[in-house]
Amino acid sequence: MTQTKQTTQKPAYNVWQNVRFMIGHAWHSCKSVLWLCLAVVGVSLGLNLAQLFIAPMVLARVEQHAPLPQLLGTIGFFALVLAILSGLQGYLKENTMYGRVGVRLSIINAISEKACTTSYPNTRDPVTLKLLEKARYACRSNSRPAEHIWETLTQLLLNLAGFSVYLALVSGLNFGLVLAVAATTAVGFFVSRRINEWGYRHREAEATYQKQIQYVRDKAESIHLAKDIRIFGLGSWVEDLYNSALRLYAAFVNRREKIYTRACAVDAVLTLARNSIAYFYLIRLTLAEGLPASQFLLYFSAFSSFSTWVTGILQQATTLRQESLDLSSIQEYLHLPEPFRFEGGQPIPQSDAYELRLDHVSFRYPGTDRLILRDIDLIIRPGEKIAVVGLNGAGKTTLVKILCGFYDPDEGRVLLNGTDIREFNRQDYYRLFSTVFQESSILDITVAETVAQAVENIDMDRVKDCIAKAGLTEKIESLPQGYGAHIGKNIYLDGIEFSGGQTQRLMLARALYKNGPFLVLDEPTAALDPIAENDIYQKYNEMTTGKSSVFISHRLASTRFCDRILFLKDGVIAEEGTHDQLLAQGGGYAKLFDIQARYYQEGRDLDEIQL
Amino acid sequence: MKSSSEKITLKETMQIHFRAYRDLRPYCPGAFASTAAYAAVNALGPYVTVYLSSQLINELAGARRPEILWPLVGLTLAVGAGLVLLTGALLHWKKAMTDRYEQAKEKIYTDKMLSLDYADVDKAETHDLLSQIRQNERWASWGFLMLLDAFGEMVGGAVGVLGAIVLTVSLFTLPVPSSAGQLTLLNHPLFVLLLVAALAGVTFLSPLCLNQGNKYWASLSEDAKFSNRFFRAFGFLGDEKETNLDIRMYNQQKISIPCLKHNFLFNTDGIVARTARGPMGGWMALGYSLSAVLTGLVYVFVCLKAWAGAFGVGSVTQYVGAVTALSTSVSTLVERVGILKSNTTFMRTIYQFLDIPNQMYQGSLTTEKRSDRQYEVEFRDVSFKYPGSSVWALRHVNMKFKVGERMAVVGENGSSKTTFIKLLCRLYDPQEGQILLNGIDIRKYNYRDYMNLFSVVFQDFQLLAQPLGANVAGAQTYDRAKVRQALEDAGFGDRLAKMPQGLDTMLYKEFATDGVDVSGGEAQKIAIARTLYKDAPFLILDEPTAALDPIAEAEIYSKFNEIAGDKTAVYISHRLSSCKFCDEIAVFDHGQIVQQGSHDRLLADEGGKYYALWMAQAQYYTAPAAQEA
Repeated sequence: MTQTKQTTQKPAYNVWQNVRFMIGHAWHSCKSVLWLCLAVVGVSLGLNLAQLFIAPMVLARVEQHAPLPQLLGTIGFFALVLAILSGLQGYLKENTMYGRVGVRLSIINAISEKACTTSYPNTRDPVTLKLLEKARYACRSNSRPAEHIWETLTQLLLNLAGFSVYLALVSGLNFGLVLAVAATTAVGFFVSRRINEWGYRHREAEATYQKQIQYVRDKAESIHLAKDIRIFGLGSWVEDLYNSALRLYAAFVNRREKIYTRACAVDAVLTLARNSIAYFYLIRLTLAEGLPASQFLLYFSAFSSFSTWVTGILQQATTLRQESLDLSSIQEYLHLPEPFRFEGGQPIPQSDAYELRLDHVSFRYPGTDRLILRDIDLIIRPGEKIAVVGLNGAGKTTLVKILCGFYDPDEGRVLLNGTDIREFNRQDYYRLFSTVFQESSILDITVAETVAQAVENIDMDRVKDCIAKAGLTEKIESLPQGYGAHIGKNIYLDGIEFSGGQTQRLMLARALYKNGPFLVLDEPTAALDPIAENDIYQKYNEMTTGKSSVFISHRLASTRFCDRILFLKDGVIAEEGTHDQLLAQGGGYAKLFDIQARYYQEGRDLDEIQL
Repeated sequence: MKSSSEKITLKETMQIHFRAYRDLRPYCPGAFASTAAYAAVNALGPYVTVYLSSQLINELAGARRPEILWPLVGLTLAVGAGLVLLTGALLHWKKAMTDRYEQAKEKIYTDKMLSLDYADVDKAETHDLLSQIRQNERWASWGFLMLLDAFGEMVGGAVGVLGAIVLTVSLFTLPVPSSAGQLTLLNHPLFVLLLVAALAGVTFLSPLCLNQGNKYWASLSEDAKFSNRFFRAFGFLGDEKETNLDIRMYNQQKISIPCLKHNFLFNTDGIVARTARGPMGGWMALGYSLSAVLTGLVYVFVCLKAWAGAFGVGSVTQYVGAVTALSTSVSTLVERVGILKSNTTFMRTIYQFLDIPNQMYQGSLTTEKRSDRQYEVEFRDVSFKYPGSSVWALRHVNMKFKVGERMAVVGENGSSKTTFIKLLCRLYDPQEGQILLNGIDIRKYNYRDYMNLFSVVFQDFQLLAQPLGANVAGAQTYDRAKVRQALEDAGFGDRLAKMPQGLDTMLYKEFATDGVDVSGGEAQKIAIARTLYKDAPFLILDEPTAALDPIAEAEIYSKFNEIAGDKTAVYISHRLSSCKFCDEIAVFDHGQIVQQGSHDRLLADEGGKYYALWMAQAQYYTAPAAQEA
C-alpha cells in the first residue's frame, strides 16, 4: 500500500548532503572518527596488496631456484609487513567503535533536544511523528545508518582505492579482459540487486510481522496482563496468538530466502563466464609467451580480486544510497519548521500582576473538523482562582492547552497583559506556568531533583517546603535515602516506585517549586483518596497565594475554593459564576452537582438517577 | 544458582550450552541443522578450489601438457560454479532459519513468564533479570544468539581442521630428495614435530590474546549495564506523546541530555574506550600479528622443501593455503570455546531466569461447581508481606462474606485494598493465617479451579489488539451468542451495533489497519463483558472510575450492581459514593480492617475511619456544608 509511495518519494536531502551532514557532525563532536576511517582504508589496502604479492613473489624465487638467503629474505619481508599491518588492523578494529558511538549519541541527543522543544502541535502531527520514528530508527543501534555509515564510507573508499591500484596492475595486460571482468561483475551485481530488492520492497510487511510478534510478546510478559492471564486463563489464547504471529513471519522469511536463492544461480553462471574468460586468456598467454607459473598466479589473483573491488564499489554505493534515505529523515526532523516563535521576540513584561485573556478564541485540532472551542472570551485577572468543569469531551483540557501556549488558536488571540503571546519566545512564556497535567513525565532522578527539575543549584529548603505543602513529607522522610532517593527502577534498582496518589502529590510539589505566576492543575486529585483530596483542597488557598490559578476537576466539591467557575459544554462557556450563583441558576452545573450529591445525601438512592 | 563471579570451567561451559541447545531446538527446529550444513560446505569449498588451482599451477610450472591443462581448467570452472550455487542455497536456508530463530527463541522467556507464579511476575527483580538478558543480547549478542553463532563457527572450524589435515599430510610424507644435500635434514621427523609445535603454539596463542582482549568486555559488563540503562531512560525523551506537555513546561531535556552525556560509557573518553586504546587494543593487535608470523613460518618450511625439490611450485600454494587454513580453523575453535566461556556468564543469567521455581502450593481439590452457587469466603487472621519487603501489607485480617452479597472495600491510598483482592484471588499466598473457601484452605484447591471462581476488572485491565469477541471470550473460538449477550449486558450493545464487523471487528490498529480504537469507558465495558462471559460466582471491580466523569461513573456503578445479579460483587474504591448500596463495607487502614458493616451503621460511628472518609467528600455536597463554604 504505502510501500510504493515510499520508494518513489524523493528524499529531502541527497546523498552528498547527508554525507556532508555526518562528516560535519563528526568534525564537531569527534574528529578521530574521520582519521580512523582513513587509517583503516590505508592499512586494509596495504594488507590486501601484501597478501596479493606474497605467494607469486615467493613462488617466483622457488621457481627460479634463487639463492636461499634471497628466498628467506623475501618470506621474511612479507611476513614482517603482514604482521605489522595485521596488528594495526586488529588495533584499529578495536578502537573505531567509540568515536562512532559518540557521534551517534550526539545525533540522538540532537533529535531528543528537537523532540523536546519543537512546537507542541508537531508532537501530535502523524507525519512529524512518523518522521521522528524514522529518525530514531536510523540511530537505534550500531548497525543503523547514523553509525554504520562510517563503515560504509570506509569500505567504499577502500574499494575505490583497491579498484584504482588493481586497474593499474592489470590494465597493461589486456584492456578488453578488464572490461569483460568488470562487465560480468556489474551485470551480476545488478541482477542480484534486482532480486534482493524483494526484501527492501517488502520491508514494511516484514516490520509489521515483527511488530506483531513484539506486541504479543510485550503483552504476554507485561505485569499488567499477568493478572488477567491468570484470572481469566488467557494463557492458551496468548500462546495461540504468539504461535500464529511466528508462523506468519516464518512464512515470510522462507519466501524471501527462496527468492534470494535465485540470485545465487545467476551469480554461479556469471562466475563461470568470468572465470572461463580469465582462465582461457591467461593460460593461452602463459603458454604462448612462456610466462612463469608464478606470473600466472599473480595475474589470476589480480583479476579475481579486481572483480571483488567492482562488486564492492557497487555494493557500498547501494548501501550508501539506502542509508542516505534514513539519514535524510534525521535531517528533515532536525530542520522541521517551527510554527511557534523560539528565537527573538519581545521580552516577557516584568510584572507582579499578569492578566491572561482569551480573545474570541476558536480552535479545532489540526486535521480534524470538529470545533473543540468556539468563540471563547475569557479574562483571568491577576490572582484569580478559576475552576473549569464539564463532562468528558467538553473542551476543558483543550482550553488549558491554549492558555499555556501549547496550541495557537485558529481564530482569536491569547493576550498576556494585552500582548499577543505569539510575540514572545514561547519557551519564555512557558516559564510563567506551574502545571500539573493528567499525564506527567517523570525522569529517573532523585526526589529533590524531581521537585526542583534541576540537577544542580537546588534550594533544599524550598524543596522541603513544597513537599510539605503537597503533603508528602512523611513518605519522603521515611525513605532510607530521603530526598536523595531515586525515582523509578529504570536506572537504579533500589529506586522508589510511588503510587498514583503519591506521584500526583510529587507533581504538585514540583509545580509549587517552579513558582510561576500561573498555577494550572488538570485533575490533580483524581488518584487521591477522599482524605488526601480534602487535604489538598484545604491547602489550596495557601498554595495559590499571589498567583492566578486554573483548576480542572470532575469533582465539583473542589470548585468552591475558586473565585469563579466556568462550566464548559460543547466548547463554549455555558455557565459562569460562583458555586452558589450557578446552583441558583439551576442549569447544567446544578444538574451535574446534583448527580454527585445524591450519593452523599441521606434518603436518596441510586435508582433515582436518570441519565 | 551460580553467582556471576564464580569461576567458569570448561565443563560448565559445555553443559550449559548443551542444555541451551536442547531447550531451544524445539522452538526453532532446523536452525542448528541449517547452520551446520552451511558451515561445513563453506569450510570445505576453499580447499577444493585450492587443491584444483595448485594442480593447475603444478602443471604450468612443469610439463604444461594441454591435454591435462584444459580438462583441469574445465573441472575447476565447473566445481567453482557449483560451489557458488550450493553455498548460496545453503546460506539462504541458514539465513531464513536464523531470522526465525532470533524471534522464536524469545518465546522461551515468554513461556516462562506465563508459567511463573504471579508473585514472581510481580517482582521487579524478575523483569530486571529478563531485561538484563535482552540487553546483553542487544549489546553484543551474548546469550542464545551467541550459541547459534558459535555452533556454526565451531562446525566450520572442525570441518576446516579435517580438510586441512587431508591436504597437508603429503607435505610431511613427501621427502626432500637426497640430491638436496643438507636440506634432507628437513626429512627428519624432529623437524616435523618442531613445525607442528610452532604451529600449535602460534595457533593457540593468537586466540588466547584475542580472548584476553575480549575478557575486558566481560569485566566491564556491570558498568555497561548501568550505562545502557541510562541510555534507555534518557536517550529517547520526547518520544512518548503523553510526556510532551510536562517536558516543555519543565524544560526536561536540560536534565536528561547532560545526565546521559555524563553517564554514557562508550564515548571516546569513557572507560571502555580507554581500555580499548590500552590493553584491550594491545592484545588484539598481538593476536592478529601472531597469525602473520605463522604464515611466515609455514612459507619458510614449505618453500624450503619445494626449493629442495620435494614437490612442485603449485603444491606450495596448496600447502601454505592448507596449513594457514588449519591454523585459522584451530584458532576459530579455540576462540569460540573462549567466547562460549565468556558467554557462560550470560547463560547463567538466562538460566537464573528460566530456573525460577514455581513455589506456590497447588492443591488437587475441585471447587465442585455448585449449582446453588453457595460459596462462603473467610479470611482468618491473615497477614501478608510482599516478598522482599519488611512491612506487613496486611495484618491480622479477619472477615467473612457469602455469595450474593455486595461488598465494598474502602480506605486511603496505600491501605492495601488491592493487596486484599490479590490474596483473595490467590495471586499471592499469605505468610500467616488462612483464607478459607467453604471452610477449606484455598491452597488445597486445584489452582485453575479456584481461579475459575473469580472475575476481576483490575484498574489496569488489558485488552489485546484482537477481535472484539475474542477479547471478551479470551480465546480465538467462542460461543458467539454468549459473547453478544455479555456485551449487551455490559452496556456495550449500541456500540457493538456500530462495529463494522460486529464481534470480528479488530480492536486497535496493531493487527489490522482498519482496527477500531475504543475509548477508556468503552474498554471498561468490554472488560466487564469479559467478566460476565466467564460467569464466575465472584465479581470484583478494582477502582474503575478514576478517569471517568460523574455521569459515566454513576452509569458504571448502577450497571454493575444490576448485572452482578445473584453473584457476589466486591468493589474497591476511594469514592465512597459506590458504597451506599453495598450490604457490607470493609474499611481498610494501614493493612488492617478497622471497621466493617453497613453504610448506615458505619456512618453512625463519628469517631470511625469511615465517617472521616465519608465526610471528607460529603461535606461539599450536603446542604449545611455548602452554605458554610
